[in-house]
Amino acid sequence: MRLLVVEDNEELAELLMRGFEAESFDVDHAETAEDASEALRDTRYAAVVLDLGLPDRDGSAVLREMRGRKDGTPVLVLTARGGLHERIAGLQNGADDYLVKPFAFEELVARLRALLRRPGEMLGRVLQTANLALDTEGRQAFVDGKAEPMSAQELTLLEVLLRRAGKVVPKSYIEDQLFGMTSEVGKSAVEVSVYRLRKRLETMGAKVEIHTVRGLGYLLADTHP
Amino acid sequence: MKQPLNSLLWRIIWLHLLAVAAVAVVLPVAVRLLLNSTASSFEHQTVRRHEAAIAGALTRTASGWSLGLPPDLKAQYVAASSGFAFAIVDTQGRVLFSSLASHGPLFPPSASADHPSFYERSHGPAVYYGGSFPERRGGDIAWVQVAQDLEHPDVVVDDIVSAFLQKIAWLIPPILLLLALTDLVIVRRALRPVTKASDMARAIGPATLSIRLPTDRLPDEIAPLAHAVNQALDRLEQGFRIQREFTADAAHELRTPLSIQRARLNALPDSELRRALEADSDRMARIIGQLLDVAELDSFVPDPSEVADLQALGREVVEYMAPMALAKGRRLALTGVTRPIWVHGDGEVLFQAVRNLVENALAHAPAGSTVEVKMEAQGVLRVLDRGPGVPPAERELMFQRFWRRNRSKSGGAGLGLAIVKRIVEAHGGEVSVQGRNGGGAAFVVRLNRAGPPESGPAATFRAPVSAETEDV
Repeated sequence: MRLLVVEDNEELAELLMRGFEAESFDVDHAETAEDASEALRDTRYAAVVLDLGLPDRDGSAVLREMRGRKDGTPVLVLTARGGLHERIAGLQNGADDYLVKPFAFEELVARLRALLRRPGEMLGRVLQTANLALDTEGRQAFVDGKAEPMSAQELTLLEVLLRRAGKVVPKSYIEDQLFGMTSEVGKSAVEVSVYRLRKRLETMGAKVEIHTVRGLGYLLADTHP
Repeated sequence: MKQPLNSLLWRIIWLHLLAVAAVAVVLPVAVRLLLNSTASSFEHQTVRRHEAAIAGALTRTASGWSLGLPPDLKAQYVAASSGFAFAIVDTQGRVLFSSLASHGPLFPPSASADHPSFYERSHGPAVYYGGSFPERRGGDIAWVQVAQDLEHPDVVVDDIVSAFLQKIAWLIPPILLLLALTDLVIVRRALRPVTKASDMARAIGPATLSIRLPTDRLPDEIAPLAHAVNQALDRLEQGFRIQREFTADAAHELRTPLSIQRARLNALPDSELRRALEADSDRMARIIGQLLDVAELDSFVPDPSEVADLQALGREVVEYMAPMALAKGRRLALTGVTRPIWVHGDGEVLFQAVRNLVENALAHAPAGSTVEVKMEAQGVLRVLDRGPGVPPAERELMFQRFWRRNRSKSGGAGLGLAIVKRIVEAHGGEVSVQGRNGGGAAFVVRLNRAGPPESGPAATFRAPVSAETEDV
């Protein structure tokens, strides 16, 4: 997994690279928009971490250039500007995700992994949170590396939740994934499925929890310490 | 209030009406004087011509004065209807010749011997105009007197003058009024670019400082004013921009070292100290973000044509905040209406308001409790917590900038609720806090309802968070 970190602040770049290397990524570093464009033309990266405030050009110019030549490499934008429209500002140029400085490094790594896990990306095969792993192709769940039997419906629900681990998955989306559009579904069908999966994960000893966000959906996260 | 008479247009109209009135008085008088003097000079010349013809026939012989008038000339004076008469008088006042039946003089003998004199006399209905002219023959002088009957039908000069004056007296006021109206139209047309420029100037505010008044179509007299206003706006805009850039730069300069600090803390082994330092770092980051929001809000004016779905907005805030809430052991719930609730406003900015309210509620909610975001169809959003609630005395104060219940207690800068208030009020809505049945606080945001956008929901507020949801 090779990443490109585009960040002009030497200290921050150094710390980011050390952090990514500790997470067993290979990392290249570019200090300017010019260097970044050159690196992106020569190498296919798994993802790019792009600071918008660069000395020579705005980082968004690099992003536009990439998207202009149909380079779909996932890009996570770092911005120090933020402000009221920060969410739009972060994504309007074709970024896949954004973080406003200062950010927690764990958050950055989690977001990056989420980008790399997206459909079509290689990491999409195995989804992992805490000691729970799911092989999406082999349709098999593991806790601490030990295979655990699960029903097809449980596996589907677990995959849906793991793909967006740490984020809310809307109930309507889960309903569509589990039961499709055609079949008649009882009002509490999703609740029943989630209840069963919770029980199953508990007995499996998985250190994850499925939270209910009333009125919205469910969220799978590490068990709170 | 502006006085109506102070307008340039009204000043011009008033001055113009005064001028019209003055002209209406002066013009007929002047015309009359001019015409009369022209008419007198005509009469004068006529009288002189007759005198010259008569004098040409006047001779002085040893036996006395003799007048050899040619017959055609003589005929003129014989017929009473011709309107002309003459008499010749010697220095003693004796009448030598006269065309009058009475054989009398036309005027009394002149006192001065050298100069001709002119007279205007009335005889009953008739008005005579004439003169007495000295003629020298050898050493003697005879006075040739000629008169013209001004009332005679052949003499029209005077009649023309009076008829003309009567007619023109009727014509002058309408013409002058028409002139005044034309001027009114001309001035209005000339001032139209000024009105336009004024309308544009009225729209200029902190958020619309880039507007400039058009100077190319303004009258030369007013263009310098507009030009000066534009230059003042240039300076103001630059001042605002410098201020804004300073805030953004300051935020940037602080955020990068904070990022470095966060990254360094991350490299430390997990400990209580590390977690405390991370919490400090988070708080600083939050205050910087809020300061930036406050600075941006000072110049924020929502686009009146924009609408947002309050229901979607509440859902996205809950979605966005739920992981953080759960990580801190609190729950979030979305309740109430599930259909779109369209309100006037900028969805992104309203999102920040609701987010601040939820953050505030989470900060005061006891562990294990639920913060509820409740949607109501009338454009109302409630954020309900089970915290200690807000004493009535503080319910107004707490929306002020930098207000904190206990200043010595560390925490936020007291900006979150001020930001909420500023955003909601910028949208013409209101925010308040109430007590809640069963304990806790209820923050209520009321916004102005709008019709659904014409382009359909797809073109409206769409947060990246929900876009990602569909990606899964």
